[in-house]
Amino acid sequence: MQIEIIFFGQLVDRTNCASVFLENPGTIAMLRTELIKQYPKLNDASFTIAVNNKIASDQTIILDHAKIALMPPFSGG
Amino acid sequence: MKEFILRYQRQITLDGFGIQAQEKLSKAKVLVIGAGGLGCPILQYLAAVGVGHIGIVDDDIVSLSNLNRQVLFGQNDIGKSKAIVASEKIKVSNNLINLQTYNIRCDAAFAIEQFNNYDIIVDATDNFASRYLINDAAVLFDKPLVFGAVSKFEGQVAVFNVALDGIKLNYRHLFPTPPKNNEVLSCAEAGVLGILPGFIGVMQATEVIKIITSVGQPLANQIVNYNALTNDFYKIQLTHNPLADAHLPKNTASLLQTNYEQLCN
Repeated sequence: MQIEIIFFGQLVDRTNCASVFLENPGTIAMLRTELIKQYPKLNDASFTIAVNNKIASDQTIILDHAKIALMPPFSGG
Repeated sequence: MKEFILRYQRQITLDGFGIQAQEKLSKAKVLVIGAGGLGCPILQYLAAVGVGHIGIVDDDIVSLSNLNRQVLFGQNDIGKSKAIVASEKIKVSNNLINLQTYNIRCDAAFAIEQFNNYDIIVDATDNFASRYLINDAAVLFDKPLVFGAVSKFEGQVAVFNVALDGIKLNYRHLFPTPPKNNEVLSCAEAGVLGILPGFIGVMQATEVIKIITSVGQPLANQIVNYNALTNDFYKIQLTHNPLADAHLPKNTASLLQTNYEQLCN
């Protein structure tokens, strides 16, 4: 089953896309590995991961059809 | 009293707001840190709606490249102190409020001296060293913190240290430690659309008003991402991050000893 991943802020400059659909890898930790494999420039980027609008931990199990958001810190003001 | 009623008539008339909420605004003390892109609209609106006591902190001077977004300043202000010019500009908009101007950088000593004199802290700064310092000091002094930040065409707004279901979360629950130096480009490097900090600053001012008056639901323990290009608002609920607490200074001595400039380099 597929899940949708959306990228915010300057992460889009590293992935060159605002969103992508992937096969559900199982957990957030596994998703992290998969994303870095597909988008190597994410490897040294800071971001927090939300599943269905709620911050998740690496152990969080991803349910099918989940919407995942990767949010980086912004500094500008 | 007559001027008070007339000046704020449009707010006092609002259902669920009334004279009670207006009086709460008049009694409130809000410290706005940063008088730049975010700070300008925050200061203008907090003054206009009648927040009774506003502190303005900034050590920077106005430059030509600020003028696309820092709408309190004009060409004649280039080279002048942002805090002082901002204070002069908003002073003429409302003589019922008090302003305190701090033409200095908000460091740990300033936070220790001043945070307890205010009810709400507003982070309108433009760098991670200030943002982590302000977050940590707001946690230490248990002050509601209204956070805003921008990047290119996007912005973030959040409310920290305001209890929701008995839980108070802060910036370190989102990002326990600062990103590596030069990882996240600043507005000077990546650019920012002029209206964007205006939009985000107005959202921050709205959150300040909601916290003071208890009208509506503040963004407690949540962060909103706004994208000006797509008109998408994306709201994310924070959760307790066990890494956060370890990085928070436990007392003022520890806050003073933390080198935020170095942490963010």
